[in-house]
Amino acid sequence: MKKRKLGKESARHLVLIVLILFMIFPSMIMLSTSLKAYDKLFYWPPHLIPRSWEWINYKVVFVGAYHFYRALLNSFIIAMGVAALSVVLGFPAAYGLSRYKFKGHSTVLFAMLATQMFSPVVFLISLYQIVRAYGLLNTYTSVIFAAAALSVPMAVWLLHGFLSTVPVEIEEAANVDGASRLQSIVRIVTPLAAPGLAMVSIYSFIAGWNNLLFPLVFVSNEVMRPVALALSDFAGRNIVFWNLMMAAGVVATFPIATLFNFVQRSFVKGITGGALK
Amino acid sequence: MGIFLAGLVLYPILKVFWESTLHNILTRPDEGIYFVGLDNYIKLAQDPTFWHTLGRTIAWTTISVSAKVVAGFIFAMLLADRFAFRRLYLTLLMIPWVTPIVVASVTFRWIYNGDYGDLNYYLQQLHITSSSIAWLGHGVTAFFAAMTIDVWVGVPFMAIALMGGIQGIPEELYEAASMDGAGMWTRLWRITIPQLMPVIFVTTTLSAVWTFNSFQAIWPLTGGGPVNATQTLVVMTYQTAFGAFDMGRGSALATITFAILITFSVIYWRRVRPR
Repeated sequence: MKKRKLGKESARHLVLIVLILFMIFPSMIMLSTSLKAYDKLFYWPPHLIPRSWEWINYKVVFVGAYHFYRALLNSFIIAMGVAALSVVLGFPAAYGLSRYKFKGHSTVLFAMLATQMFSPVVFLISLYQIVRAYGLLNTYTSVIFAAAALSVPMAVWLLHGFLSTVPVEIEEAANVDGASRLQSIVRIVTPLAAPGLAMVSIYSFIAGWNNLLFPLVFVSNEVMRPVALALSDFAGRNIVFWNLMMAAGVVATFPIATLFNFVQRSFVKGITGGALK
Repeated sequence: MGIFLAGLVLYPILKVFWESTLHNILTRPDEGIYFVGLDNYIKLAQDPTFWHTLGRTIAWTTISVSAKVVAGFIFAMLLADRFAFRRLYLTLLMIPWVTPIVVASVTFRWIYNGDYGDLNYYLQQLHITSSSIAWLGHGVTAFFAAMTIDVWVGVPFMAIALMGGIQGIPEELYEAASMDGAGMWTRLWRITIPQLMPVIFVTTTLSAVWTFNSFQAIWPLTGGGPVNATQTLVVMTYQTAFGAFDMGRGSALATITFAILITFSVIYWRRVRPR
């Protein structure tokens, strides 16, 4: 019996190792290519582990002709803007939805969720015309507002779920003690909702960082390009410095991977609603 | 907040409906902008490219989501209970999910490279193929190449969500079944999968929407080519509006996309609605 269990466990590890290797293979290629010298890229057979590690690639990406630091900075500004708007606008709306039942309550919630499911392409044409009419092409504002339009509803949806778990009684107790509604929101609800707020701001940050479609249409000036756009533009050129591009990819992934760690669990729970406990 | 959303969500949707009834080609200002009713839709319906793209989008979504569900389920089954190194496997499994899709797409573009790509090398080492293949140069291979990226990025979410579902199945059900002498397959088909159905339903709907909307996996890889082989409805909408600058036709495509997505949303809403 025990022997059989041991066999089963090793089979499990064997299958997992093969499957996981398969899943991380592209990332390994990315990492290894990012450390190769340009002329070593075209060696056949390719080396998975580079013979010499060219860390200088990373430096070239940042300050060389690609000016990738600009793209990183642009992405950072856009992502921060989207996160800030999502929290500032999403929190009051979610609070209202979780504390008051009103006519059309459930329609509003549906609208929030439905927006999340639309492709940006649906909004793209009209937003482009609005952005152009107001002379906002090639500005952070246009990309931030467009991306926030999609992440605010998601913020409301996720925060609504979160705030529903904060008991109303705590607030009522505070009101009895003479706190106004606003005071109880600031002093009591906000600290309790802090983990939810953190989750939503990280989620919106990531959404802002990864968005490609809005910058693709709104931004033509090279200096204003965020990471996603800069990367897909590299790919379109005739001579592609794959090693530098992979280095840029690693750099673009790193902040997202770090942040994502914090929200993965609550995000899955929030988006699958009651189906997962 | 209400004004913000009305301005940036509701208004654009209504505007896109209106735009879809106009003749408006930005590069032909001489033709002017005028009302054409349902003309844009009629022209689309008569265009075989549109029907091919629609069919391709359905194939793209169906195959990709099925692959994600199957792969995600295998991972979920393998990772659901406690065992040594579980956290390590889980962390490594998250890597595709945390990779921005554009980065993944660009990386795969290099892996698929016909002359120096790693995919060709390993396939030849394993004697699966005998010569290098230009994966992105042929319609069918490019379609599945793009889909592989989409699946690669989507599997971790599926795995985590299904794993949560599997962990929520009461242990007693399995014990009772073992008592009745049920084998592994019986337990899988009679307990795990039926119990998991609500979770599978919700994650499949969500994943279908995300897959249908997938733009970042396709655009940096192939730009919709070669010869439209990777053009889905979303890509076609973008190309019509911002490649050909035909705003009327692009808006008609956006409206059709909207109609399909709202159907998905309603189905999803019926399941997750807070009561």
